[in-house]
Amino acid sequence: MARTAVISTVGHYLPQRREANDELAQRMDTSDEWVRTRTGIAARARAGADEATSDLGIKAAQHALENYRGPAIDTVIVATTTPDMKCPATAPVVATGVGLTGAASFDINSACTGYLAGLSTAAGLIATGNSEAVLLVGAEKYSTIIYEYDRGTAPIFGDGAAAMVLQAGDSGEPGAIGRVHLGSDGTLWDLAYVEAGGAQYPRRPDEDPHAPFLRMNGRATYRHAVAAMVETCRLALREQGMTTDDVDLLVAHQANYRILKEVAKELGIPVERSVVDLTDIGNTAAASIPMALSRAQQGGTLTGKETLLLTAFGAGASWGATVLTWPELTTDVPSNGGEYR
Amino acid sequence: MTLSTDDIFEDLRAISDQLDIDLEDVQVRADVSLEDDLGMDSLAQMDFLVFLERKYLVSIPNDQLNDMATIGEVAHTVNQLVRAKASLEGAVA
Repeated sequence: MARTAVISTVGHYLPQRREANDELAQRMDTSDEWVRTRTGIAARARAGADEATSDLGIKAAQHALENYRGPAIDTVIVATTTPDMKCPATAPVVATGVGLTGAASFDINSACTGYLAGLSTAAGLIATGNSEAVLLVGAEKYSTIIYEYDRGTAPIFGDGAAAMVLQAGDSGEPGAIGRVHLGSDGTLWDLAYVEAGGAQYPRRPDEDPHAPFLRMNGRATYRHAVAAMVETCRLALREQGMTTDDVDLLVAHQANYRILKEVAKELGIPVERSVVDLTDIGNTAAASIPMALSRAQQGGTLTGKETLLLTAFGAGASWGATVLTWPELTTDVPSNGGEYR
Repeated sequence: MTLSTDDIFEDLRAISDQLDIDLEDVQVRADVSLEDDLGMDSLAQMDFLVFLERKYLVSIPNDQLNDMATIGEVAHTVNQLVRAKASLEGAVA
């Protein structure tokens, strides 16, 4: 058996405030029923003005670290599309925030595929002996890049963070990370993008008010998201000599209920074996897969030994999938007053 | 074959239950907007376009996906694609 990264603990943090569909309907032409039936989302998590992405990440990491008893963590990776600042990365701030000053730390920007890209990176660092234990955090404050009047994005995205610790272990253990299939297509960069404020299009006084915020081409994103996730899942399963019958739970990036349903349908996985965890929080982008895993662990849906198929699609365009066996994790009751909502 | 606004409406009617849209009080007109008049979100619109792709055996290129805001524009684009396909098949034959 080969040395690889093994999931040791998980955790998450959701800010307290929720923006309900009725609140959205006060500023745009929509309704609770319209949003709920089309997205599966009733409310989205909204961080406070005093909560940055790093604050969300630190709290999620603290939750994961409460139950961690392995070797010293030497690397911190933060997957985010909404860093605290353009420079520096958010990861050093999170590392210091959880007492890991001195650890190697860096961000990964692969939008909603960020967690899978981080998982692949963490596994590589550990397999090559460059790391003994990695804290991988998916943290997003999407409300900072949402144009509040955009019906295409404002109902979808939520704020939140989730974290896991991966430590060196054996490829045959439950929780071991194997091949993570990642892909991208830069010709599809305009499926979802924030135009203004980067090197290509610096901010301008006369810019469109939507320019510093996310734009999403809904039709094309839907088409490519379903196709890429289905194809990559099939590839990941085939490589393992598995079929969808071997999958206990599909944990796809929580983009939108109908995308989740469509991916499950195309793969031939009954919808009840597909994790849906966005109704009360929205799509938390790079945090959505570890968020779903942590909440499923906390809620008792995951108890260990389940075969999981993880998949994501994000801006870039980027996508990925991997298969893993969920480990039996310690599930101590959160110690800080139930803050891990 | 040239598809009319009526034809596209009939196609829409065929999957209106699946798309959860109500066409009861909608007038059959080319300028009916998928989003503003029929309340279809981008996913429902894409589901409809995929239905048309499969029915008429055409593939709508990415850069034309957003050119179809109304029923008339859908008919126009699908007609163009059907004609281009027929002309290609004629050239090959």
